[in-house]
Amino acid sequence: MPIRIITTHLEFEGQVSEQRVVIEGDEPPVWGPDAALSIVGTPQPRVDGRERVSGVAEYTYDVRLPGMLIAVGLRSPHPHARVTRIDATRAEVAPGVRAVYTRFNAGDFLHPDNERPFFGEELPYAGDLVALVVAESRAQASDACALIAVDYEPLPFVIDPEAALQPDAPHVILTRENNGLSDEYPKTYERGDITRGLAEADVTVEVRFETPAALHNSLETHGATAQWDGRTLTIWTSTQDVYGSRRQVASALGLMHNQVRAIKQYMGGGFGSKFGTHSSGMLAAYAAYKLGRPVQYMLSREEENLCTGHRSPTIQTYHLGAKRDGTITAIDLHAIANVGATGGWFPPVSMVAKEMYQCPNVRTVDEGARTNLGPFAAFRAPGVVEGTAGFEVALDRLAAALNMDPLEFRRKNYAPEHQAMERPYARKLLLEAYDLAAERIGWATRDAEERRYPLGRDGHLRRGVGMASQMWGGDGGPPAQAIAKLLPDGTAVILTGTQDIGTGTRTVLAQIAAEELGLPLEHVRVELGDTEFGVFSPGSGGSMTLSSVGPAVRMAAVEARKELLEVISQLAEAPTDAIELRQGAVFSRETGKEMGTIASFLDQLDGHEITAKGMRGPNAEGMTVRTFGVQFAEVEVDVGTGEVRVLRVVACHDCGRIVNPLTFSSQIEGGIIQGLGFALMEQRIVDDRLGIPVNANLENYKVPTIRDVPEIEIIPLDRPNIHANTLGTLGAGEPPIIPTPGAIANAVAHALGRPVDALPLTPDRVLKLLNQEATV
Amino acid sequence: MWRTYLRPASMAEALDLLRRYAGQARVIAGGTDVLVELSRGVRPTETLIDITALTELKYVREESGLIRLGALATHNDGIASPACVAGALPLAQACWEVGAPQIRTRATIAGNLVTASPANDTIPPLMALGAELALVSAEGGERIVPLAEFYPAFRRTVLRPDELIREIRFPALRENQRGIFLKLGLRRAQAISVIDIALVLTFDGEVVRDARITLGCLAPTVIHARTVEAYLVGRRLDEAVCAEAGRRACDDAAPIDDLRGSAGYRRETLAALVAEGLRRVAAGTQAAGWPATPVLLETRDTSSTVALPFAGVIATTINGTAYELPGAAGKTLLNALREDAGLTGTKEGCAEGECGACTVWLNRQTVMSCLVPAAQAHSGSVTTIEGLAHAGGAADEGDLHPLQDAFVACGAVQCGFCIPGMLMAGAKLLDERPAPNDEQILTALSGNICRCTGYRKILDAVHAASAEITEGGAA
Ligand code: FES
Ligand code: FES
Repeated sequence: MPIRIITTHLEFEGQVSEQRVVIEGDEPPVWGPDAALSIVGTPQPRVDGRERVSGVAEYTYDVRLPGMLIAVGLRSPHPHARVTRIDATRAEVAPGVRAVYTRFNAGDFLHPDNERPFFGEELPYAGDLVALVVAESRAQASDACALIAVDYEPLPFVIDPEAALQPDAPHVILTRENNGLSDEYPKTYERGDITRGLAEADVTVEVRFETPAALHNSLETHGATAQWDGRTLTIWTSTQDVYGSRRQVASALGLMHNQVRAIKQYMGGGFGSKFGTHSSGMLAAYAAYKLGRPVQYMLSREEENLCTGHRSPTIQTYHLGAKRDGTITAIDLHAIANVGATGGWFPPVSMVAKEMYQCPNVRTVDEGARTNLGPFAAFRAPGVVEGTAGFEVALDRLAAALNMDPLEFRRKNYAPEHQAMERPYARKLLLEAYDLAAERIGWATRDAEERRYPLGRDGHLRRGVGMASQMWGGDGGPPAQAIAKLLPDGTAVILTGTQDIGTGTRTVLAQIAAEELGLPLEHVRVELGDTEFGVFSPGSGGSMTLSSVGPAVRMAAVEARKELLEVISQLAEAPTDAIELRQGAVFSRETGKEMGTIASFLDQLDGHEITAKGMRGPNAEGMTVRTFGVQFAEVEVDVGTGEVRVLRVVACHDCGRIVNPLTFSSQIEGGIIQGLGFALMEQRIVDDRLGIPVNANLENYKVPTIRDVPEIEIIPLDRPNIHANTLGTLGAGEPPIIPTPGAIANAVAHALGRPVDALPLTPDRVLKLLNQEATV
Repeated sequence: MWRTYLRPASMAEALDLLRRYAGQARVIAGGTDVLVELSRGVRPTETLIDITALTELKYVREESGLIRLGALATHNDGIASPACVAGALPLAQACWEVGAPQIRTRATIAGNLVTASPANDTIPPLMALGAELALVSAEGGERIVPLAEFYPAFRRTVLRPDELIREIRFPALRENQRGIFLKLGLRRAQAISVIDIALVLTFDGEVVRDARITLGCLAPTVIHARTVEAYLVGRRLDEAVCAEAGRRACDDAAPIDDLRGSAGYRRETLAALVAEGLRRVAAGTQAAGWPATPVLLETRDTSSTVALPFAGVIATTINGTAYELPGAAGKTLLNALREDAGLTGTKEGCAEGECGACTVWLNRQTVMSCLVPAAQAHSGSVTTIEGLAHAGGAADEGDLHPLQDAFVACGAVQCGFCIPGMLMAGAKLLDERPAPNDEQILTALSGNICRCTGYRKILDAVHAASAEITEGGAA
């Protein structure tokens, strides 16, 4: 097939980039609203569910290789220090120890992405790596770690982002001129005239809103098992991105790409933190390469929570103005994100303020502050969860100041077009979503006395209802490839290089292939998560896996079907358009009679396998494709103890066609619970005197348990978005977490009759709010 | 963590070992506190003395008005004992509030006392109940220490290095006495207390004759709210008195800020909590919400197992197969299963009893295997996820336990990492009660964290499996 190189636009985690990609062949026409589909769109249990419930699924940690060594890291206890001396002699001769790496023997081993040494002299946060011990067993490696003597020269540190930005603040990293993220920051976006917008307003509000550092706490920590056989470095790694892992390992070790194989079959969650293979993976690879023995390095829960990233804490200051009739005239946002010591980018905190509601005069200033804490990492809709919470809370304040119903206020300022890019949205069903969800939660009666005071005015319980809107990309894009193989027995194998990070990718891809190939689902096997046998697919993130890889799989299946029909047509001496494939059998279109199974035809050929390739085509130009949605939350607050209980969440998200209602609703529910955790309990706590996180564990870092779960009602808007891709589908991974914290915060504010100024809404904070004057 | 694991077969042997190790060893029973401390480097030791073979110490009984708890009485034993619920409700309630079910199967009440954290839930009720401890040692014989004198300072006890708590005892509540335990945590399950309180009141008709009110997390040690105790005597518990008592309790407390809550928060909620406790006691609703048949996640079986002497090599049965694990005596059961037995289906999520991913069955109990010394499986039997189908009576090779099937069918699985532990806890619940209600499911699974699914479909799956089991049984 002829190839062509095209330029297309891709939005990933709020950043739009231009991509040059190779396109080969043509994609099939989009599955429109009338497409007759029998497997896609039906609830299907996971094709690999059995492995996952029986203990058979092999996670990175479960990989056992003969002669495998175990690595354990020694990490800095200081927020900022210089390592002046390391005496590892006792550790080196301890039983079972095969190597001890420190800056004095491995100081030239550099991270390929930022050129920082893995074992630095300057350690800019507590939890940065000092030494790695590799031993025959985990116990021996840990024991030896305790024998390493390190001299640290403590250096001045700063952990508060606003303090870090002061001119006289201690240097977070000594060689940097200041603690800003980079020369590009602070970065300002402006449209219209903010001064005029504020002047035109009849009512203005100023809101300062803070969000905490949330830790991913994927149940499986980061880590890898690596093996070097003299020819190939194989790395089993808990990653969302096998190709990124291969690239990182190859460049860190100076190997060619064809010498590295990255494998990820099962993983215990990532939520954005597992792009590439993390330093732990590169260190396992390094040790395996040096020692010629397999090495496993899995992080402990504490290491995980100190050094693998988190949602960056933010301080958002809004200055909003509106006319008496509710028209917003000005949105001014100053957003500070604490990116940690070595964070490399800015989470798009201000994306929603720029775009979510209609406003001619907007100014946003993004400012990244470095502090002596571990670097942040992408965490399920990074920046946008925090930004949505802050912005939606600020909007409720403005609505209250106008004495307007919050939902009415949002309708009034509905943005039909993508204002920042001055182009239309491919589709926006948000008004409909508002109607459906408001009806379901009973928005109209939210102020009713009996609803707000379930025990009467004097009782200790108050209830409130709040809402927040959601927007996100998730339409995917190229490059993403797949191969479909039809085997002589009529079964199919789909090869791609994507990975199933727990969301059900294997299952939905099998559904798509089975649909096009006319096979029962059980006859399709999807192989992924292996750079050796897959074909290129991007990392699994940005809610783009299905919308990028799904169309490639579909095209491969369509191409394979074409060849299959051709084969059958010649064997059966019937024109291709007279044949139909269903459930693994061949039917005559005319008579409706079965002509035999697919296998019975392929079997007539000597071992012929049909192999076809598919790729994701370019994105639509001239429009913005988005998921939009809304969530409403109802909460109950105990005014005696400050405890908040979320009773109900109603969610309505337009993610286009729903390929599998079971995995879709699972994503929505999971996102809501993570959002609930962020709203009510999750926060890294740092001892500001010592500069170290004190709850890097699951004991004092609270994540929601089954007891915290509210009723969740999902209103599906299962309609293909024909501009998104040939499936008409958009990702559902990130949308559901985006509005939850804002909706809960607004519900708590409604229940208390007090403004909310920070998350999480712990009992302590709620009581403090109650002690303030009522202003809402 | 530790190198030497000793498992004395008699009290005399245990006391002798304690004497010989003179403070160099630590006593272990359930292990739920000790293993967490050891992994964090708190009170490190090379030697563990496991007293679980002294099965004669595992009892909760009432004798002539006195409730006696043996050193090996667990939180579940307290919850499951009618004597304890009737005669020491605040203690039973505190046991119920501790940790997750997998902790309650293992953690002993005596161990809770020795850990000596002011946040330990069982200390306030035992203090309010006027408990005393029988401490024994090889040289000193037995001495009795009132619990009130057991804690000289923050996280300190008067227990001598060669001593063991043999028994905890206190008078059972009489007709004219009522009590309650209340606690605030940071989330609804598996929460360490931000504050907790216990009340024990003696009435003359409606008038309070004596009040004992103890406060946890409100001072360096658990304390009595003396002002309130004095204030209440001679009064009727009307609304004004309850509220005033709550306010006065703040004068008795000296809370500090820590990562779970601020001093201000503690003081403020203390008032609400004390008032609420008094209201409930006044109304006689102190036992409201106490489950008629609490979820235990262990098969109650009084027949004592014969523990074979342990000589360094663990011999155990896993999923019906006999194993010898020579190198595992210094490991947790989790690591022994994964590293020595090669059974990697059981997962590690935190290694300190906070996530439930490592849940397995040990003998008749559901446990967090990261908090169990592997040697405790010696001469016992373990069931892991790999053996669940078989344990559930799967007839054919390849069949699954009904709960496993239901998890797949209901879409209750995402990444799957939490699932083995979730299934082991859930399957034990279905053993215990084939048709659980929502509340019982929440209790059973409250120690298992899932970061992906949002739990709703897990709840659905347990119900679906229950329907399958009960209908299947009826057919
Ligand atoms: S509870 Fe054992 S690993 Fe988390
Ligand atoms: S399914 Fe991933 S942690 Fe539960």
